Amino acid sequence: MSDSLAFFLIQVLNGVQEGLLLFLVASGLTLIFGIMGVINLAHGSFYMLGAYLVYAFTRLTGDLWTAILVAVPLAIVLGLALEALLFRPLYSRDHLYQVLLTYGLILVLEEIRSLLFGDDVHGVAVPALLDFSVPLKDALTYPAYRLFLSAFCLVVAGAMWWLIRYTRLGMAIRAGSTNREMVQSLGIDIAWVYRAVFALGVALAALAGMIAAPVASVFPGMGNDVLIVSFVVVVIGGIGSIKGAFLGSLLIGLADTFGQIYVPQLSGMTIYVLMAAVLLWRPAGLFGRAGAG
Amino acid sequence: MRERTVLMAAFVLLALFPLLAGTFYLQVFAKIMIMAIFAMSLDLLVGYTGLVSFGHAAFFGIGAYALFLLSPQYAAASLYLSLPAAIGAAAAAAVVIGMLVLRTTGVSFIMVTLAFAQMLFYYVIGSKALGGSDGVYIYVKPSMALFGWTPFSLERPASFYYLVLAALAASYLVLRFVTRSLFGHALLGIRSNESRMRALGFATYGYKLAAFVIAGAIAGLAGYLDAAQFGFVSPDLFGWRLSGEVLMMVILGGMGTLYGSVLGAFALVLLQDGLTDVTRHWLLPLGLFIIVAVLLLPQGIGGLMRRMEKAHG
Amino acid sequence: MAEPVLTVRDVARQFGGLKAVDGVSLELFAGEIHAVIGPNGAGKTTLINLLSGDLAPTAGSIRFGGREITGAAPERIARLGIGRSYQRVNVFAGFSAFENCRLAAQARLGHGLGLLRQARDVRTLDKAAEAALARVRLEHGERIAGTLSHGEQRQLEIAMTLATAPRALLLDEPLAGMGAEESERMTALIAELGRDHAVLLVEHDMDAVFRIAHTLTVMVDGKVLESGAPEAIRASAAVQEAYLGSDEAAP
Repeated sequence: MSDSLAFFLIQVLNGVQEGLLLFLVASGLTLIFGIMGVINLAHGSFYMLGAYLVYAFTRLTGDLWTAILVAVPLAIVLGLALEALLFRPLYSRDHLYQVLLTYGLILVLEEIRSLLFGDDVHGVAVPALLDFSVPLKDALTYPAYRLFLSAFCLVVAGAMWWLIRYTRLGMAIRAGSTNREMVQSLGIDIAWVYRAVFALGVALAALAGMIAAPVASVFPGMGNDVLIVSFVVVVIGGIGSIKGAFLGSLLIGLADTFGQIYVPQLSGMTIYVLMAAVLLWRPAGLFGRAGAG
Repeated sequence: MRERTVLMAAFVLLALFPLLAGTFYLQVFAKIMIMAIFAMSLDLLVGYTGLVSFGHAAFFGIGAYALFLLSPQYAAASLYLSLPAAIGAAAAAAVVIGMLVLRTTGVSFIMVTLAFAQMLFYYVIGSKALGGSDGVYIYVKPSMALFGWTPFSLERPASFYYLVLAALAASYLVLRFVTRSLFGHALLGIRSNESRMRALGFATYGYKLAAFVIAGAIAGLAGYLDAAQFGFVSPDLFGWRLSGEVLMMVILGGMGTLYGSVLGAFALVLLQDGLTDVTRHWLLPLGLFIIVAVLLLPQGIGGLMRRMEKAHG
Repeated sequence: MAEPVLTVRDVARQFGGLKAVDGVSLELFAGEIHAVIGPNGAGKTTLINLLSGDLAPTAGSIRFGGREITGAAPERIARLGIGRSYQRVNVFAGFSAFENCRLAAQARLGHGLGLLRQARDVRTLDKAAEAALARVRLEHGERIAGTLSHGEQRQLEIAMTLATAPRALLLDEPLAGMGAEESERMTALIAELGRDHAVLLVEHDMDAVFRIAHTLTVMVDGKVLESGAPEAIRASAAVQEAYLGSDEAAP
């Protein structure tokens, strides 16, 4: 394999990994929009909380895997609690109030994080099992952990696909993303569906933060950055569409990675240019429906 | 009628304020009035047209950076040239951004407005010419010199205060005129039921774009004054936090009444200043306050809205 | 014979694999009430959505006053003179009935965006709103639309459409959910409107339809089964079987 090809391959792997990680966050976001009609600005905060939780637990247990095993159920419990206390009153209300409440929630979660963990930037060590590099050509190698990340996210994506195609919850999700009233007429308890979807979304976002911690580092603003990029993914992919979130995430991941290499002057703006282009061509997103949202 | 009397009284009080207050409070009130201008402009979008923009700071930032770009490094920019230019720049940006974001509605609209503001945020951070993430200073306030004669110096707190007060009054009158016109009625109709408006024959896209541009222009005015007051601009002026703050002012102050946004600005800035004195983690009680307010608000805002709908009959 | 006001030719609308409307043609004349009837799911509301511009046809053509309007945006179609009322009440709930009509009348002003309000314009609008409310005999127009009874809201629906001074009216089940007395009044109103407008009426109330319609078109499964004078339709065996004899047609 030639040098430039190897280099190109590395960028593709980076872009795909970035995109797949983003998919975990964006899929939860798009489900919550599409099924429950709720806009949740604090979604990125769950990503951040996942990272900080895993940082704290890794310091306690010395092992990333144990930390994740402990932190995921915690995240699910937190998600269920928030859904019951704060989000349930919001389902029937104007998006305006959802925006306001979840904005307040961001502030609260950030300050709690600040009180519990401080404001410093932290690192989480790559677990020893995966702390090696896969050789590509001569001196060029690729970190095994990043490959693991991509593989893990693909597995999760596969699990989601299975969930949506073959389970009752999945059926409710498919029906609900086109017609919320239809879900109830199918005889499914809508409250249960909402709870499950919300908890799933929170868990995915937190999980993404957890497994990303070794490569992305853990810092205060990480939630907001990922939130806004997730928004762009959802806009590009179409609200309520998992397929759209998947493709959109990959597109964004690759565009961002290659954009930084080949068009550094636009630093970080490539994804917004992409979003503007989609808005011009297909305002509802690649797989969205006009009138959704 | 009573409403007008109260507003006039408030204006008179604000005008007399410099006679009583020291420099510190003059500056605080000037800051509040600048935020009030910003909030009223967003009210046109949120309270009258039903467009929840989470990226309104974009235009605030453009107005602020416009002053920076138009100010020579150690000399004053002319107020008469730089102020209209800043408003014009914000308006032009609002046309471009508006044309894109208004292709979406609902949740998507909220997201893309946020995204565009973020785009500008990252653009400024990455731009050395604009000072990057550290921000940049404007050393001299704009000059009000006209043909060699300088009536006021904006370096004096009282003069600057009056400039802001004049801007507040002017913005209020412009927005009041706009909202009481037939155009304003159409905006309320769009907020209430946009598809029916289209079915009746209104080209709602054009109405929304016009509202978006007017709001953006006035936000640019606020940003310009903010930059003039503090002599410092940074990318945070485009940030989502500022967009969130101003949205809060509009909602908590009472949407669709213009002066409600002014009240919201006063309340929020004073609340923030008060909380900052108490704790470093003042965002926590503020966040809790917002959450509780939203959960308890339904009746309050509802009653307010009904009053608003009737007032604009 | 006069020229048709609205000409619909082979219009179709497909949703994925489903043909909601499949090659429908009809003509609408001024001073005539043309009723479109058929079982649920026949595509009647889709047809109205195609004519009002809320949906674009996937095939066929629609001409209004000699002008091609296929696929035009709803606001353009409304401005050309086609007014539509809705099956599910679609008013401005927070405004008074009067304000609803005045907003509707404002759509016709044509002064650009109306930023410079003129006193003369406001008087024109007020008069148009009063006239519309009077025509449907809806009193106490200062009441908030959301507080009106169902029947009154339906009257308001019609009033709003009238306030835009349309040439053609598309009425989507205006009698739905109405009691006997209200139905009587509404039917009489529609008959009256039929005299100076071209009216397309989608309805399930066969009593009313047979009383006031001049022409009937029967739709089944997105297609036109039969079209003609009321008596001919009533006598048709095919129509009896498909619809009139069934439980769906209200007696």
